[in-house]
Amino acid sequence: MGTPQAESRLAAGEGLRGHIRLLGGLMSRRSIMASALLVLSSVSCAAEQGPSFGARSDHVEDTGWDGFYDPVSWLRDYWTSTHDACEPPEPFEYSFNEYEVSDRCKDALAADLKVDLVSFSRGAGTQGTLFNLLADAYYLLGRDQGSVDDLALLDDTLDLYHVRDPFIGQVELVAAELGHSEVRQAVYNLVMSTILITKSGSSSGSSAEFHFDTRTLRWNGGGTGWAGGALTLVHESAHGWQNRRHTRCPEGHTVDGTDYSGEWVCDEDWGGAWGFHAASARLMLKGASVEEPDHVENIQDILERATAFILED
Amino acid sequence: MLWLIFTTLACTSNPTDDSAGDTGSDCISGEPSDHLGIEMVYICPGRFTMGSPEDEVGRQVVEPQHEVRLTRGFYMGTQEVSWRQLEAFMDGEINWYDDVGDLGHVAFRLSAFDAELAANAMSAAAGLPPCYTCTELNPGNPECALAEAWNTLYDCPGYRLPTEAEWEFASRAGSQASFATGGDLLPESEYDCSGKLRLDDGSWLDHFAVYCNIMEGDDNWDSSERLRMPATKQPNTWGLYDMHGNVMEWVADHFDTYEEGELVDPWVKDDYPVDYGRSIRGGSWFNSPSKLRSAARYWDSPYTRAPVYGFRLARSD
Repeated sequence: MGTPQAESRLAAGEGLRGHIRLLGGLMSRRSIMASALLVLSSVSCAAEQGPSFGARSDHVEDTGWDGFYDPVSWLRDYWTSTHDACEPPEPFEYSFNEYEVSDRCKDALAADLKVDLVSFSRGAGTQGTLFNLLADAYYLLGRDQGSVDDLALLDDTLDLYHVRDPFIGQVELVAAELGHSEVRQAVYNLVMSTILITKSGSSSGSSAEFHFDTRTLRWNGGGTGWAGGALTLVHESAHGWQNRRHTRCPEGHTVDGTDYSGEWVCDEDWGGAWGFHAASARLMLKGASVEEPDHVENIQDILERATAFILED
Repeated sequence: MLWLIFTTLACTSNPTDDSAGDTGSDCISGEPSDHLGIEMVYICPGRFTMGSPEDEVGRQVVEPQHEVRLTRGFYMGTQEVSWRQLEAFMDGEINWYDDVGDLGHVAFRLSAFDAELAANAMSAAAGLPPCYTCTELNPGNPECALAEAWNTLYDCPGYRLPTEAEWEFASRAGSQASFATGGDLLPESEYDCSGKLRLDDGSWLDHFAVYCNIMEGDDNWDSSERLRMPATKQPNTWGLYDMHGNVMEWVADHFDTYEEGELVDPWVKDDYPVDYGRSIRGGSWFNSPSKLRSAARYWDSPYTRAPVYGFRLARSD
């Protein structure tokens, strides 16, 4: 079961349990609170098993984590070199064929996630499991989410694609630090900068967890489809970035017919992991093509579900 | 003339040799022997440095260098096993993949357990004891483990998968470089799929490796039909074909970090659940140059049947 107090969970199926331990240390420029967990259905996309590949990172074992929360100091630009390695089509296409994606691209994605290969080789871990994770990261890398400058224009609840200030401020911060103009650049780098190591499996059987003390992402499937997985990456890293947990859902709070009364799965406002999850989903919807109806429908479902866990409004 | 002599000497000496035969290069039997239609060479006991130096182009973090001593000689298939060879000693019972195409193709879409089942079948055909106990999880899906008769895989006199150490020893063929020719990748060439990649020793990668789905100037070359033929390229100096590229080859070890210090007859098996990831070596027709290096390591679930997974057989002396 691990140390649930130090974990954020993305549970598959039933709800989640556990609490998050507040960590001391320096405050980030944004909020610092506790952990989270959420509920998503399990991954439905199944890539064909295929060739091996691996992270070439040399810092898998050396986390470099000093225990203090100073997320801005974590920031690095992963996006530029990986985008060069993968060359995702513009406009982005919802495709990641195992035998068309180059080793260079897969290695770059795995290196950004600091994948622990031995961990993924254990138990149920297969190259297919790892491939799906890389496909999720590829989606995050390539899917257009608009320009940073346009974000402020979307801070309008009447707008179909409105996003809220906590997310906008965070993206603007990352973009300013790294000199980015695109939201996808900032979001990808926020995710990859937050994660110090990615391991397979989760201590609770949930589909993803974030362990604050080691900034470890535990991956056990992620989310529904590649967009769902990409948004799970955003969600989990948002926990890590902000050191913020969910709050208890109020009595009678149901989502998709499931009663989450008293469960630690809600967020008080749009500044939590669900807010980042929902905001990124809105921007992905905005960037998605009308020629991807199933895909759009999937993101809409994810967006609706994420929003349902936010108590504000 | 002096230059020529020096070159010749340099090519036959080996910096890791500290006694005759240590690298195995002096005791290859010379002529391959026939094993029920499968050609194998004998490789002597030896010592070598497994893994890659930190400055090797394309290196992965899971390849730290360490000394390995193989105390037993072994036979190694000169080629990746083909469908025809499987059919010969499995009495036509190739029931795990219906669309094999040309029987001359390298057998692919095989799990590690499929390969071990095939090794057992070959042992039976040769009158040797089986190395594995295989059970059928469900029709056509075997699961295998070392037979109880053997303390370690090296003890089994039957046919089996090579251990990861045996595989790398054979792939290197006495070379400590990335490739058996003695060549390393030049910087920035680890993903070079141009088809005309030269190593730092001047050798051409495409002369001895099928990789990157390269069509070799034939626009009509259907990779799915022809790139999987065995032994279409030059062998290494020990007579082994396709150690670099073509199909990835299952080996006997579970995938894990290497233990430190000199390892004697290593085999990563004990205490591991049967479904832990298994190592796969050599890269494939699909992979880029860095994945073809002798030290490059991969893994997958031993149940996985991917279109780039095949195997070659080994047998203890």
